[in-house]
Amino acid sequence: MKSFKIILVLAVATLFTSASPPEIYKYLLSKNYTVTILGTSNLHNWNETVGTVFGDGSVTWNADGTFDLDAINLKMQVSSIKSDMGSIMNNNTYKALKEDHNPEIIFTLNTPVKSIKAGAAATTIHAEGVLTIAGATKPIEMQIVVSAPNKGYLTFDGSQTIKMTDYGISPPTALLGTLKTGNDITINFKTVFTVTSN
Amino acid sequence: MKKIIGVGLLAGIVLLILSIAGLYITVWFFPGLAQQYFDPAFTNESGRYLLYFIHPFIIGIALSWFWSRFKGILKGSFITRGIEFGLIYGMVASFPMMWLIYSAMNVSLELVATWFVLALVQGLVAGLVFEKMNP
Repeated sequence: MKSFKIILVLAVATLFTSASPPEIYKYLLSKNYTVTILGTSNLHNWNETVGTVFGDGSVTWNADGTFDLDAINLKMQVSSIKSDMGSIMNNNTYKALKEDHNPEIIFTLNTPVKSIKAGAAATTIHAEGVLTIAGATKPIEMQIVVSAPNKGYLTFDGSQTIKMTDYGISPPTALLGTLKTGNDITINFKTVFTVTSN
Repeated sequence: MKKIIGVGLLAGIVLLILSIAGLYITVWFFPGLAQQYFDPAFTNESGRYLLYFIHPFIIGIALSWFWSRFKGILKGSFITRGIEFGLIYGMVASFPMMWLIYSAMNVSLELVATWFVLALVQGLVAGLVFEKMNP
Protein backbone atom coordinates (compact mmCIF):
# COMPACT_ATOMS: atom_id res chain seq x y z
CA MET A 1 0.00 0.00 0.00
CA LYS A 2 2.86 2.33 0.92
CA SER A 3 4.67 1.66 -2.32
CA PHE A 4 1.46 2.31 -4.24
CA LYS A 5 1.23 5.77 -2.64
CA ILE A 6 4.83 6.54 -3.55
CA ILE A 7 4.21 5.53 -7.14
CA LEU A 8 1.06 7.66 -7.19
CA VAL A 9 2.92 10.69 -5.84
CA LEU A 10 5.71 10.23 -8.38
CA ALA A 11 3.23 9.83 -11.19
CA VAL A 12 1.40 13.02 -10.21
CA ALA A 13 4.72 14.88 -9.85
CA THR A 14 5.85 13.68 -13.29
CA LEU A 15 2.54 14.73 -14.74
CA PHE A 16 2.91 18.26 -13.34
CA THR A 17 6.56 18.48 -14.42
CA SER A 18 5.88 17.44 -17.99
CA ALA A 19 2.88 19.66 -18.17
CA SER A 20 4.80 22.75 -17.10
CA PRO A 21 4.45 25.41 -19.82
CA PRO A 22 7.42 26.34 -22.00
CA GLU A 23 9.24 29.44 -20.82
CA ILE A 24 9.97 32.29 -23.21
CA TYR A 25 13.21 34.18 -22.62
CA LYS A 26 14.40 37.37 -24.27
CA TYR A 27 18.07 37.88 -25.09
CA LEU A 28 20.27 40.76 -26.12
CA LEU A 29 23.56 40.68 -27.95
CA SER A 30 26.37 41.25 -25.49
CA LYS A 31 29.42 43.36 -26.29
CA ASN A 32 31.45 40.21 -26.60
CA TYR A 33 31.10 39.71 -30.36
CA THR A 34 33.28 39.52 -33.42
CA VAL A 35 31.96 40.10 -36.91
CA THR A 36 34.41 40.18 -39.79
CA ILE A 37 34.10 40.40 -43.55
CA LEU A 38 36.73 38.73 -45.70
CA GLY A 39 37.19 39.44 -49.37
CA THR A 40 39.63 39.10 -52.21
CA SER A 41 41.04 41.18 -55.03
CA ASN A 42 43.64 40.56 -57.71
CA LEU A 43 46.01 42.62 -55.55
CA HIS A 44 45.57 40.98 -52.15
CA ASN A 45 43.00 39.61 -49.76
CA TRP A 46 41.31 42.08 -47.46
CA ASN A 47 39.68 41.92 -44.07
CA GLU A 48 37.15 44.21 -42.43
CA THR A 49 35.77 44.30 -38.92
CA VAL A 50 32.26 45.41 -38.06
CA GLY A 51 32.61 47.59 -34.98
CA THR A 52 29.01 48.09 -33.93
CA VAL A 53 26.39 45.36 -33.95
CA PHE A 54 23.02 45.33 -32.22
CA GLY A 55 21.04 42.17 -31.71
CA ASP A 56 18.16 40.60 -29.86
CA GLY A 57 16.47 37.27 -29.78
CA SER A 58 13.68 35.23 -28.33
CA VAL A 59 13.96 31.65 -27.16
CA THR A 60 11.40 29.20 -25.86
CA TRP A 61 12.82 26.79 -23.32
CA ASN A 62 10.97 23.51 -23.50
CA ALA A 63 10.25 21.22 -20.59
CA ASP A 64 12.44 18.48 -22.08
CA GLY A 65 15.52 20.68 -21.82
CA THR A 66 15.65 21.67 -25.46
CA PHE A 67 14.91 25.14 -26.71
CA ASP A 68 13.31 26.73 -29.75
CA LEU A 69 15.02 29.64 -31.40
CA ASP A 70 12.03 31.80 -32.20
CA ALA A 71 13.63 35.02 -33.29
CA ILE A 72 17.04 36.51 -33.89
CA ASN A 73 17.71 39.97 -35.25
CA LEU A 74 21.13 41.42 -35.98
CA LYS A 75 21.85 44.94 -37.14
CA MET A 76 25.37 45.89 -38.20
CA GLN A 77 26.28 49.53 -38.63
CA VAL A 78 27.92 50.02 -41.99
CA SER A 79 29.76 53.15 -40.85
CA SER A 80 31.47 51.09 -38.13
CA ILE A 81 33.11 48.76 -40.67
CA LYS A 82 36.86 49.25 -40.61
CA SER A 83 39.28 47.74 -43.08
CA ASP A 84 42.78 46.54 -42.37
CA MET A 85 43.76 48.49 -45.49
CA GLY A 86 42.88 51.88 -44.01
CA SER A 87 40.55 54.74 -44.78
CA ILE A 88 40.59 54.35 -48.56
CA MET A 89 39.08 50.88 -48.33
CA ASN A 90 36.69 52.08 -45.61
CA ASN A 91 35.33 54.78 -47.89
CA ASN A 92 35.17 52.33 -50.75
CA THR A 93 33.14 49.94 -48.58
CA TYR A 94 30.69 52.66 -47.51
CA LYS A 95 30.21 53.67 -51.12
CA ALA A 96 29.72 50.07 -52.30
CA LEU A 97 27.21 49.39 -49.51
CA LYS A 98 25.39 52.67 -50.24
CA GLU A 99 25.82 53.62 -46.62
CA ASP A 100 24.19 57.04 -46.98
CA HIS A 101 20.83 55.42 -47.78
CA ASN A 102 21.30 52.02 -46.12
CA PRO A 103 23.20 52.51 -42.88
CA GLU A 104 22.68 48.96 -41.60
CA ILE A 105 23.19 45.38 -42.68
CA ILE A 106 20.29 43.44 -41.19
CA PHE A 107 19.81 39.73 -40.57
CA THR A 108 16.45 38.42 -39.41
CA LEU A 109 15.64 34.80 -38.67
CA ASN A 110 12.33 34.14 -40.36
CA THR A 111 11.80 30.46 -39.57
CA PRO A 112 11.99 29.33 -35.93
CA VAL A 113 14.42 26.51 -35.26
CA LYS A 114 12.79 23.91 -33.02
CA SER A 115 14.10 21.59 -30.30
CA ILE A 116 17.74 22.59 -30.16
CA LYS A 117 19.69 20.54 -27.69
CA ALA A 118 20.86 22.65 -24.77
CA GLY A 119 24.13 22.21 -22.92
CA ALA A 120 27.75 23.20 -23.09
CA ALA A 121 28.30 21.05 -26.16
CA ALA A 122 27.76 22.96 -29.37
CA THR A 123 25.02 22.04 -31.77
CA THR A 124 24.89 22.94 -35.45
CA ILE A 125 21.56 24.22 -36.64
CA HIS A 126 20.23 25.10 -40.06
CA ALA A 127 18.92 28.64 -39.95
CA GLU A 128 16.75 30.34 -42.53
CA GLY A 129 16.39 34.06 -42.59
CA VAL A 130 16.64 37.17 -44.66
CA LEU A 131 19.69 39.32 -45.11
CA THR A 132 19.47 42.95 -46.13
CA ILE A 133 22.57 44.55 -47.58
CA ALA A 134 22.70 47.88 -49.39
CA GLY A 135 18.91 47.98 -49.38
CA ALA A 136 18.50 44.59 -51.10
CA THR A 137 16.83 41.82 -49.10
CA LYS A 138 17.45 38.20 -49.99
CA PRO A 139 16.61 34.91 -48.28
CA ILE A 140 19.61 33.20 -46.79
CA GLU A 141 20.27 29.79 -45.29
CA MET A 142 23.26 29.01 -43.14
CA GLN A 143 24.72 26.60 -40.68
CA ILE A 144 25.16 28.11 -37.25
CA VAL A 145 26.95 26.55 -34.32
CA VAL A 146 24.90 27.16 -31.20
CA SER A 147 25.71 26.46 -27.60
CA ALA A 148 23.52 27.11 -24.59
CA PRO A 149 25.28 26.02 -21.41
CA ASN A 150 22.41 27.47 -19.42
CA LYS A 151 19.48 29.79 -19.87
CA GLY A 152 21.67 32.76 -19.04
CA TYR A 153 23.41 33.00 -22.36
CA LEU A 154 23.60 31.56 -25.86
CA THR A 155 26.44 31.65 -28.34
CA PHE A 156 26.12 31.67 -32.12
CA ASP A 157 29.13 31.15 -34.37
CA GLY A 158 29.06 30.91 -38.10
CA SER A 159 30.44 31.80 -41.45
CA GLN A 160 28.60 32.56 -44.63
CA THR A 161 29.84 33.35 -48.11
CA ILE A 162 27.68 35.57 -50.27
CA LYS A 163 27.98 37.20 -53.64
CA MET A 164 28.01 40.98 -53.78
CA THR A 165 26.09 40.99 -57.03
CA ASP A 166 23.20 39.11 -55.36
CA TYR A 167 22.63 42.30 -53.37
CA GLY A 168 23.01 44.67 -56.28
CA ILE A 169 26.57 45.59 -55.35
CA SER A 170 29.09 45.87 -58.14
CA PRO A 171 32.43 44.49 -56.93
CA PRO A 172 34.64 47.58 -56.69
CA THR A 173 37.20 48.07 -59.41
CA ALA A 174 39.94 50.63 -59.84
CA LEU A 175 42.62 51.76 -62.25
CA LEU A 176 40.42 51.25 -65.30
CA GLY A 177 39.50 47.74 -64.29
CA THR A 178 43.04 46.49 -63.77
CA LEU A 179 42.25 46.21 -60.06
CA LYS A 180 39.26 44.00 -59.34
CA THR A 181 37.57 42.94 -56.15
CA GLY A 182 36.30 39.37 -56.02
CA ASN A 183 32.54 38.95 -56.07
CA ASP A 184 32.50 36.55 -53.09
CA ILE A 185 32.76 37.84 -49.56
CA THR A 186 32.65 35.80 -46.38
CA ILE A 187 30.99 37.06 -43.23
CA ASN A 188 32.29 35.42 -40.04
CA PHE A 189 30.56 35.95 -36.73
CA LYS A 190 30.97 34.95 -33.11
CA THR A 191 28.22 36.29 -30.90
CA VAL A 192 27.02 35.91 -27.36
CA PHE A 193 23.44 36.69 -26.38
CA THR A 194 22.64 37.19 -22.71
CA VAL A 195 19.23 36.84 -21.14
CA THR A 196 17.31 39.98 -20.26
CA SER A 197 13.94 38.67 -19.14
CA ASN A 198 11.57 35.71 -19.07
CA MET B 1 48.80 70.66 -90.47
CA LYS B 2 48.34 67.16 -91.88
CA LYS B 3 51.88 66.31 -90.82
CA ILE B 4 51.32 67.68 -87.31
CA ILE B 5 48.24 65.51 -86.84
CA GLY B 6 49.85 62.46 -88.46
CA VAL B 7 52.94 62.62 -86.31
CA GLY B 8 50.78 63.43 -83.30
CA LEU B 9 48.70 60.30 -83.86
CA LEU B 10 51.83 58.22 -84.25
CA ALA B 11 53.15 59.61 -80.99
CA GLY B 12 49.72 58.87 -79.52
CA ILE B 13 50.08 55.19 -80.36
CA VAL B 14 53.45 55.05 -78.62
CA LEU B 15 52.08 56.95 -75.62
CA LEU B 16 49.08 54.63 -75.45
CA ILE B 17 51.38 51.63 -75.16
CA LEU B 18 53.33 53.52 -72.51
CA SER B 19 50.14 54.39 -70.59
CA ILE B 20 48.86 50.80 -70.60
CA ALA B 21 52.28 49.58 -69.49
CA GLY B 22 52.18 52.21 -66.74
CA LEU B 23 48.89 50.80 -65.47
CA TYR B 24 50.24 47.28 -65.14
CA ILE B 25 53.60 48.42 -63.77
CA THR B 26 51.70 50.25 -61.04
CA VAL B 27 49.62 47.18 -60.17
CA TRP B 28 52.49 44.69 -60.28
CA PHE B 29 55.31 46.68 -58.73
CA PHE B 30 53.57 49.28 -56.58
CA PRO B 31 50.51 47.54 -55.09
CA GLY B 32 50.31 49.96 -52.19
CA LEU B 33 50.11 52.83 -54.62
CA ALA B 34 47.64 51.01 -56.86
CA GLN B 35 45.37 50.40 -53.89
CA GLN B 36 44.90 54.16 -53.52
CA TYR B 37 42.90 54.11 -56.73
CA PHE B 38 40.13 52.30 -54.83
CA ASP B 39 39.37 55.67 -53.24
CA PRO B 40 35.84 56.72 -54.24
CA ALA B 41 37.37 59.99 -55.47
CA PHE B 42 38.42 58.05 -58.56
CA THR B 43 35.72 56.98 -60.95
CA ASN B 44 35.27 53.30 -61.70
CA GLU B 45 32.60 53.80 -64.34
CA SER B 46 33.57 51.56 -67.23
CA GLY B 47 31.89 53.99 -69.63
CA ARG B 48 34.65 56.50 -68.92
CA TYR B 49 37.55 54.12 -69.45
CA LEU B 50 37.63 55.05 -73.13
CA LEU B 51 38.52 58.63 -72.20
CA TYR B 52 41.73 57.40 -70.60
CA PHE B 53 42.71 55.45 -73.69
CA ILE B 54 42.04 58.48 -75.89
CA HIS B 55 44.20 60.80 -73.80
CA PRO B 56 47.55 59.72 -75.36
CA PHE B 57 46.26 60.88 -78.73
CA ILE B 58 45.14 64.23 -77.29
CA ILE B 59 48.59 64.74 -75.77
CA GLY B 60 50.30 63.44 -78.93
CA ILE B 61 48.54 65.92 -81.23
CA ALA B 62 48.94 68.83 -78.78
CA LEU B 63 52.64 68.15 -78.32
CA SER B 64 53.09 67.65 -82.04
CA TRP B 65 51.73 71.14 -82.64
CA PHE B 66 53.94 72.50 -79.85
CA TRP B 67 56.96 70.75 -81.37
CA SER B 68 56.30 72.19 -84.83
CA ARG B 69 56.26 75.72 -83.38
CA PHE B 70 59.28 75.49 -81.11
CA LYS B 71 61.57 72.80 -82.51
CA GLY B 72 63.73 75.54 -84.00
CA ILE B 73 64.91 76.74 -80.62
CA LEU B 74 65.99 73.27 -79.51
CA LYS B 75 69.63 72.61 -80.21
CA GLY B 76 71.84 69.55 -79.98
CA SER B 77 71.71 65.90 -80.92
CA PHE B 78 68.71 63.68 -81.58
CA ILE B 79 68.58 62.52 -77.98
CA THR B 80 69.29 65.94 -76.47
CA ARG B 81 66.49 67.70 -78.34
CA GLY B 82 64.00 65.00 -77.51
CA ILE B 83 64.89 65.03 -73.83
CA GLU B 84 64.87 68.81 -73.63
CA PHE B 85 61.45 68.88 -75.23
CA GLY B 86 60.18 66.40 -72.66
CA LEU B 87 61.63 68.43 -69.81
CA ILE B 88 60.04 71.63 -71.14
CA TYR B 89 56.65 69.94 -71.28
CA GLY B 90 57.12 68.42 -67.85
CA MET B 91 58.21 71.63 -66.16
CA VAL B 92 55.97 74.11 -67.98
CA ALA B 93 52.73 72.15 -68.22
CA SER B 94 52.79 69.21 -65.83
CA PHE B 95 54.63 70.38 -62.74
CA PRO B 96 52.43 73.45 -62.04
CA MET B 97 49.31 71.36 -62.68
CA MET B 98 50.46 68.63 -60.29
CA TRP B 99 51.25 71.28 -57.72
CA LEU B 100 47.72 72.61 -58.05
CA ILE B 101 46.17 69.15 -57.80
CA TYR B 102 48.12 68.30 -54.66
CA SER B 103 47.16 71.59 -53.07
CA ALA B 104 43.44 71.21 -53.76
CA MET B 105 42.65 67.50 -53.78
CA ASN B 106 42.83 64.71 -51.24
CA VAL B 107 45.45 62.64 -53.00
CA SER B 108 48.79 61.48 -51.66
CA LEU B 109 52.07 63.08 -52.66
CA GLU B 110 53.37 59.78 -54.00
CA LEU B 111 50.35 59.43 -56.27
CA VAL B 112 50.80 62.95 -57.65
CA ALA B 113 54.51 62.23 -58.08
CA THR B 114 53.74 59.20 -60.26
CA TRP B 115 51.47 61.33 -62.43
CA PHE B 116 54.27 63.85 -62.85
CA VAL B 117 56.75 61.11 -63.73
CA LEU B 118 54.29 59.67 -66.27
CA ALA B 119 53.83 63.11 -67.84
CA LEU B 120 57.60 63.62 -67.94
CA VAL B 121 58.18 60.25 -69.61
CA GLN B 122 55.34 60.96 -72.05
CA GLY B 123 57.01 64.26 -72.98
CA LEU B 124 60.40 62.61 -73.43
CA VAL B 125 59.08 59.78 -75.57
CA ALA B 126 56.91 62.12 -77.64
CA GLY B 127 59.94 64.40 -78.12
CA LEU B 128 61.98 61.49 -79.47
CA VAL B 129 59.17 60.48 -81.83
CA PHE B 130 58.86 64.05 -83.13
CA GLU B 131 62.61 64.37 -83.53
CA LYS B 132 62.58 61.22 -85.63
CA MET B 133 59.46 61.92 -87.69
CA ASN B 134 59.49 65.72 -87.96
CA PRO B 135 63.04 66.96 -87.30
